[in-house]
Amino acid sequence: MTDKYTDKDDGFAGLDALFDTARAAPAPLSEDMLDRLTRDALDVQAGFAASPAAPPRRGRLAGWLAAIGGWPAMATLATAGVAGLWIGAMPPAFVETLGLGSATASDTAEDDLYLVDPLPGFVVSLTMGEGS
Amino acid sequence: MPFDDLSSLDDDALLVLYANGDPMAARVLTGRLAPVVMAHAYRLTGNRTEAEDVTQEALLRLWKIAPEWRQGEAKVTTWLYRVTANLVTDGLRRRRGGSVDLDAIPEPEDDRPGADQVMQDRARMDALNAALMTLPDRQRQAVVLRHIEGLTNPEIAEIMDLGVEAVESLTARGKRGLAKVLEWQKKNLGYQDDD
Repeated sequence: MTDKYTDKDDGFAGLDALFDTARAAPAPLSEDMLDRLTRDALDVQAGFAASPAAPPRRGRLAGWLAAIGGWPAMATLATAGVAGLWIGAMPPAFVETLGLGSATASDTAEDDLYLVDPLPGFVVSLTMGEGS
Repeated sequence: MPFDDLSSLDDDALLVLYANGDPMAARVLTGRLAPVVMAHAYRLTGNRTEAEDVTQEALLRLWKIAPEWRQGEAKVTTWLYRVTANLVTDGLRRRRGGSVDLDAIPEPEDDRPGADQVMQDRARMDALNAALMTLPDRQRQAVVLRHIEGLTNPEIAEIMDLGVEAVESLTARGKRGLAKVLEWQKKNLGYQDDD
């Protein structure tokens, strides 16, 4: 006598046969259900295309940079700033001859006379006040 | 790309194409994965309507994570088996009205009054499904994955977050439980003694 449900050397033979049958059986999936699932897949996929990645949000610094004309303008501004700093720290000779240099701009008395203001502003104002 | 060409691709590659907007990939993947998920959900729930709900939700979750899917990290089907089992478990918990220690459910007894009554007038698959439903959830899941879906013990261990030995124990106990229940149905199922 062979009972297929007894635990023999090869296991539960009857049960294994049932498992084989179950494995071969088609899934209880109707055509309608498959259509619905396909529509779900396509709907979600359409959402990917409808919502492309948002452009990166511009920060305040980026906004300011764009307002002044972008990086070319920034480079020009930086160059001008460095040049101004350079002139201020190490003024060239012609800048000093314009009277913008230090008090030791001239070396001779003639130059001092030439550079002196013959009619300072406050004298002019005094003169005009007397006449009125 | 034509349908036939896509059919030769594996699930990972198809999922990348799907995420890139290929509608044919959506159709091929659905046709390939939906029966797998539905069959598994039906075997775990024993209820067609509930299995359909679980299938729809599991696949929706797959579609939504497709753009972030990391190729080669996990098999798509392994991920789906896990999600399907979790959804089924969540459904069972809701019906039972709270949290349940699934492993605390006792093994089925061979003289349950309802089990043999349910199986008397059913065909083999109905009998097997009914018997499966008498098993504790984790045993049922392990038995279905091992003996019907045909997965290896390491694959089942990954899906169920268990060690391989625990899986072996679950499948062995589950199989014994099924045999006990089905013993009552031998004649109806056509598995009679040979003598």
